[in-house]
This record gives sequence, structure tokens and C-alpha cells, in this order.
Amino acid sequence: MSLDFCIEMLKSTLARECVLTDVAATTPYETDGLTAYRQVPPVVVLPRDTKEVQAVLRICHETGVPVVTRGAGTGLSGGALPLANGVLLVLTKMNQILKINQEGCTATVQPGVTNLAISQAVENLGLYYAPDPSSQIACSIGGNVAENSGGVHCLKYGLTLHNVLGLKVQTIEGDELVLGGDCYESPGLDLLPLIVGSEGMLGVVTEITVKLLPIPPHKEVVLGAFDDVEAAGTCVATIIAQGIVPAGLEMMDSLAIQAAEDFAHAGYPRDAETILLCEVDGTDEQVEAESTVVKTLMRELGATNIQSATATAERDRLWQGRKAAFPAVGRISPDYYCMDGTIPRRHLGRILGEIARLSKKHDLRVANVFHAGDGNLHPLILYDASDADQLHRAERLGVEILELCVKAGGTVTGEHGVGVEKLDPMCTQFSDAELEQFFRLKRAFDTSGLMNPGKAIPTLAHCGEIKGMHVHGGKLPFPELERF
Amino acid sequence: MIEHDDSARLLDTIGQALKRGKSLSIHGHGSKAHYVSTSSGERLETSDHCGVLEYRPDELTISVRAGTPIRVIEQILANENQMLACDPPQFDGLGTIGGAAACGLSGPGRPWYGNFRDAVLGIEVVNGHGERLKFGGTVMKNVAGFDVSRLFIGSLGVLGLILSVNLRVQPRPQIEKSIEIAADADSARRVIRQSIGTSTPITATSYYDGNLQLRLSGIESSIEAAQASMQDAREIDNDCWIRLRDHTHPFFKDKRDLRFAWPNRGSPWVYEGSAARLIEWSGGQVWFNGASNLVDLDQSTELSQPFDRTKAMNGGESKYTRRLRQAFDPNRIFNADLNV
Ligand SMILES: Cc1cc2nc3c(=O)[nH]c(=O)nc-3n(C[C@H](O)[C@H](O)[C@H](O)COP(=O)(O)OP(=O)(O)OC[C@H]3O[C@@H](n4cnc5c(N)ncnc54)[C@H](O)[C@@H]3O)c2cc1C
Repeated sequence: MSLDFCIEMLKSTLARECVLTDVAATTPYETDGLTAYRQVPPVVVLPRDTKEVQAVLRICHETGVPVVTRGAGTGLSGGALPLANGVLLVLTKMNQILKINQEGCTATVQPGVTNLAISQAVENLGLYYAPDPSSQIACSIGGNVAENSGGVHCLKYGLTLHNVLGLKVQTIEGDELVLGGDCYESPGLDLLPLIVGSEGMLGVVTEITVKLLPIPPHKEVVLGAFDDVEAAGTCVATIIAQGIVPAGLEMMDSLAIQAAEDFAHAGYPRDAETILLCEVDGTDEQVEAESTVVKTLMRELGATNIQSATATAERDRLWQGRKAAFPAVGRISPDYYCMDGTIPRRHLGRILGEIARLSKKHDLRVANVFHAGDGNLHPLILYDASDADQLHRAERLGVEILELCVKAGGTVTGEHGVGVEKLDPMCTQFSDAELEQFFRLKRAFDTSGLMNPGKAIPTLAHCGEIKGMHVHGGKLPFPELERF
Repeated sequence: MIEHDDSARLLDTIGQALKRGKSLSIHGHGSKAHYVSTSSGERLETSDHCGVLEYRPDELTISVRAGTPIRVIEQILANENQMLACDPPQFDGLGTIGGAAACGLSGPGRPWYGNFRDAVLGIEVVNGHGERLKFGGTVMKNVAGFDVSRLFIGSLGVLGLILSVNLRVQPRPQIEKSIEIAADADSARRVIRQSIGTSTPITATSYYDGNLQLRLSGIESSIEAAQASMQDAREIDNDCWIRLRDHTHPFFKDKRDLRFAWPNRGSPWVYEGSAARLIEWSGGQVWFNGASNLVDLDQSTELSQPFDRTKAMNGGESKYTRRLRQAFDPNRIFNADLNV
């Protein structure tokens, strides 16, 4: 059955304003946060409730048309990139906070609610939702679940996975999965962690129950400036090894410091090679004790400048530069390409050195601003997309950085997801048998391969091409299986 | 400590079972035999596959073979002033880390330290095709591919054999103190509720027989401040949490009519029935002993079904659970008779 028929059915089922086919209306959805990839979707649907999501999925299932789910479209790996022959299911109209349970410290929300809106809704109760991606004013909680997003405070409070208690998920076959809920555990196979981070490949998340935490009574931010990247890396590893788990521990290199200072005027020392920003929180006594250890360690490891702030305004100022770092870097280069590898913390200094070497080799600047405490790197490769050669070099440089991460015992993506962007390096990280197991798992939820096909898991054929090796005799293992 | 790589034998046994169309029943120390029934088929013993593969105190990670006793791991971590970032029971002081992973049970620290699943960073398994596969890794943040490592936690071995797990560990708190306060349910509930607002360093709670017990963990000054704020609290031995975790607490003496639930926090405090009641996890888990009818619990706030925690769920499997089993173990060679 054709896409046209599918669109007709969508139009006859949903309200007129919920089905967009006019190019002027659909073009804004052509890309997510990874703007190098674009595809205008033939149809965009904006369901208003779970029933309408189920209706859309049923129509796609019946007509055999693939569907890509989209939250706010801030994803950085092309996970919500539309298909030329598929439906784009956009959840922004489902933006209600359904229930707040103060004693249980939970909130139940629809997927289109923005990350920050949850914390704002419970602030008067002295509570907040801990994971805080830098995109939190815009990104949706549904998108956070689909990507297992992290943020500055995930070092102490965990990723999205650790802060989600319950999910309702719609499958393409018309089933509703109710996973977890308002309590700590539930019986049966634990499918919740499988849905978290599944990039819209297994089902559509239509309801989320999150854990809320009490706002810590005291916080202190300590800034340490170093003129040696290696020493800052050691400082990160030492703080953690000392038994302190800061609420956040971030690092910026000199290019990022300059850009951030020009843009946000946070008062960072411009002559520093690297700065560390460390936030500790908790009771008064705890903050005092931990910040003292952090400052002492910084001093011992050669920090040239140490600042600290306990008052809200001062703390905000110190964070300002870090939070504005991405847009700030955006101002010093026509384009940047954000990488997301994670490495064991102890290799930070060495890998940053290697990245600097690769940056010289490919003749492109790289700014580093990242979640140092988690070992989650965000090298920003600066390039000019209008120059085809620069784009090509930027992609090469990106691949080589991710290969470094895998070799150091890390991963190609810490929080941004694989999407369409990291299909190639996935071939480095996983064996053929592991990739095949991922496909079998996907088919358990999506037999006909209609949910976000072509994303997140590379086919063996794709990996065969990448590795420049030919699959045995031109034959794939399990040739009878569909590839998607 | 004994270190032994028994994977060649395990893989060989699995290969043989596949060839002959036989099924295997996976066994660790048998410490949770009361919880999971035994599946038919040839016994596949994991306890010889043991030892620490890598321990990095500076990274807060440890990788261990499935047959390693939890007790041994705890000792190794304690030497570096660290501990597991979850609190799995070790009934009778036994229990392998693989068994803990496969059952996914949690002790009294669950709401504060997380459950076993939360502490898992990566896993190595053998699936029903006899393939040795690795998922996740040893880093804290990793979203490459589906999260298969965490799917295996609590899977009771029906998806495949766990060969090793990589776990997040955590620094031991500087001080750990336990206190007891005589209280009726209402005031116990109030103390807990107040402590949430004031960042009191609680890491376990239990309410039983008119006594509220709290574990406080953290730096000395924080704990002193918390203690000072709780009148009439008397200090008790920290071992009470181990007794609670491993069910040697007097409440668990007679297990015939033991039931438990994971209620929406709040509701278990209101209970007028006759069964003995023990509330953990700030109200997040409640045990009943000696009641045949448990439905007289306050249903107003979506109380979960009371489960029989002495047994793993043995109900019908959902369509997707069945399909996932098929995806990992199409010939049902692992724990074929068990339902999850
Ligand atoms: C400036 C900037 C800063 C960022 N900082 C961070 C950061 O600090 N940490 C971090 O982790 N990420 C960060 N991101 C990335 C991005 O914001 C996150 O990945 C976010 O979770 C995506 O949410 P979204 O609603 O925009 O999802 P989208 O981009 O719309 O979708 C992302 C993926 O999720 C799927 N999806 C979306 N909603 C659903 C649903 N309801 N059900 C099923 N699948 C769904 C889509 O199919 C797609 O694969 C940043 C992005 C930008 C632009």
C-alpha cells in the first residue's frame, strides 16, 4: 500500500490541523540538531493524546509505511531525521503534566513536556528533576528518555535511566506497554532500560513518571584554572578517587574559555589552558567539607587560580560561561561538529593530547568543553560547511576521535545517541554477532521494521563496506533476515 | 581468592546442548533457591567461573566473573574503602554476583543507592546461539546500542548465561550510624517526610513493631546534626540492615504467609489489618506476614498488587517477553521451564 493512501487515512482520522503535508509547513521539520542531514518529510502528524498516537501507529502498520518519532528535534545524532517515504510523528502537542505526587516525589508527564518545565512545575514544593541536558529549555522529556540523556548533574544523580520510574509505550502493533510506575520495582522482565535510549526504534513513549529530588539546601561551585591539561585531568580523577562525588565536574579548554568569555563574561581566567568547574551540594557541613577537599586538591595539583561561590548569583555567573559554551563556540566558527565519546577518566589528559594532535593533522580547530567527571568528551570540531574539503576533514577527524575513545576502553556515544551519525563507528565498537543480536531484539518489538528504520544500529553490510572487507563470498550471515 | 576462567567449559556445554536440542538449568550458589524454582535440564554451574577481571578504584568500577561470591567482592572493595553501589541480598551469607544480577533483588538501601540494574555498566553473556557477546562497557555514560546489559538484570537466566558483569562502585561513607526511635506509624511517616526536606543523610529505613530504624551515612558533622535533630533516638548496631537484607530479621522467621508490595509511597502507613507489617524504603516496600487476605490495604493511591516475594513471578509471560526470549534464546536452552 502506498504512502499516499496512508496520508489519506491519517487525514480522515485526525483533525485537519494535526496532519501537515504542505511543504511550507513540513520544511521546518527537515532536520534535528544535527543540521548536516536534511530531509523534508512528506507528512508530519501532531497527535494530541495517546489515542491519536495509537491511531497513527495503526495506520502506519496497516499501510506498511515507516514512522519516525520526534520530540523537540534537538537531538544531535539525527535520530529524528525524517524519511523520504515515511511519517514524521511529532509529540510537541502532548505537553501536559498529568500528576505530581509530593510525598512519593514523582511526577507523571506527557512526552512533549520540556525537561525544564518539570523542575519549574515542582519548584514550589522544594523538588526538582535532576538530569539537566544543556538543551533543557527546549528538549522534550520523551526525547530524553529515547536518548537516555545526561547533563551536568548526572555525575551524582545519574542519567535519565536512573531518574525514570515508569513509562507507557505504544508499539507499532498496537500494544501499550506499561513499564514500572509510581513505585520502586515491578515484577517481570525489566523492559524499561531497553526502552530508555532506544532512539524511537522500539516504540513511542507516551507517558513518563520521573523521580523528583529535594533541592539541595546548600551548593558551592569551585573553579580551578590550570596551565596544563594533563594536571586538570589528573585533578578530575583524584577528586573522584578521594571518595567525593561532586554534583557536577566540568572541564573547558582555552579555545572554549576564550569563546565563552567573549560571549558570556563569566569572569574565567583567560590565560588558563584549562578550567575545571566543580559543584558540590548537600547539607551545610557536607558542602563545607567537600569543597575544602576539592580546593586543596586543586592547589596541590598546581591550579593557578581558584575561585568559589556559594551565593546563587555568583554560582550562576560561574556556570554561565559553561552553559553558553556551545553557542559561544558557534560564534567563532561558521559551523561546528559536536562529538560525544566517553573514556575512562584516567585517560583524560592523554586523550586530550591525542585530540590536539589530530586537530593539527587535519588542520581544523577543536574546542573541548565537557562532562569531565563522567569522562564524557564533547570535542567541538570547528569547520566551514560551505567548504566541501573542510566538511570531509571534520568527519574524518570525528571518526578518528571516536576510534581513540573505543581503543581507550570507552564508547562512541555517551549521551547523544547513534542516530544516523554514528553508524560507522558502531561497527568498530560491536562485533557482527552483537549487532545481529540488536536486530533480533528490535524485531521482537517491531517485526515489520517500521519504527525509525535505518537508525542507531548499522547493518552488517554497512559495516562490511566501512571496514573495507567483503563479507564472506559476498554472502551475509542469515541472508534470510530482513535488514533495516 | 580463587581466580578461574571456566568460560571454555561453559561455552562447550552450551554448544553441546544446542547440538543435542537439550536444555540447561543455570546454578550459582543456590542461595536464592527459595525464590527461583529449578528448571529441568542439565545443571550448568557457574561458581567455578570466578575472580575479579579488573578493579579500578580510581574509576569506581569493577569487572567480575559471574561465579564470584558477593562476599568476596565486598571484601576487595572494603580494602579500598569502597562498596557496591547497590545492596543485593546474600541469603545465608552466600550468593554469587551472577545470581544477584540474574535475580535483581535489592536490600534496604535501594532508594538511596539504586538497584542492581542501576549499578550495571556492562555485561558479557552467552546467548542461545552459543555466541559470546559484550554489551555496555566500563564507563559511566554509554548509549551505543540497546541497553542489553540492564535487560539481563532480573531476567532469571532465561535470556542467556551471564559470564561477567561490570559494576559501578562507590566510596564508603565516612561514618555509618543506625538509630532507633519508638514511634507509631503516623509519627514514623512524619519523621521520614521531614527528613526528605532537610537532606538528612538517610540511607535506609525500616518500620516494624512500633520502632522506626534509620541508617545515617555521610560525614561526621552531618550525622551529628541529624542525630541532634531527632529526639529520643537511641543508637543501634549497623548489623540490623544485614539481617533485614538477608531475611534473618525476626520478622521473617515464619515465611509461610509472607507477602510484600511495592506501593506508591505513602499508602503502606495506613493499615488496620492484623498481619505483622514491616515497611522499608521510606514506605516504598512493605512486607506482611501472617495475613491470608491482603486486599484490605489502602487502595486509594494505586497500591501495587501484593506479590509473593518468596517466589519470583510465575505468571503468564507477556507477548514481548516471549519474543525477547525468542530473540536471545530461540531454542529455549536456558532455564526453559521458568517464566519471568
Ligand atoms: C545546544 C544543545 C545542547 C545539548 N546538550 C545536551 C546535554 O547536555 N546532554 C544530552 O544528553 N543531550 C544534549 N543535547 C542533545 C538533545 O537535546 C537530547 O538528545 C534530547 O534528549 C533530545 O530531545 P528532543 O525532544 O529534542 O528529541 P528529538 O531530537 O526530537 O528526538 C531524539 C530521538 O528520540 C526519539 N524520540 C523522541 N521522542 C520520542 C518518544 N516520545 N518516543 C520514542 N522516541 C522518541 C526520536 O525518534 C529520535 O531518535 C543537546 C542538544 C543541543 C542542541
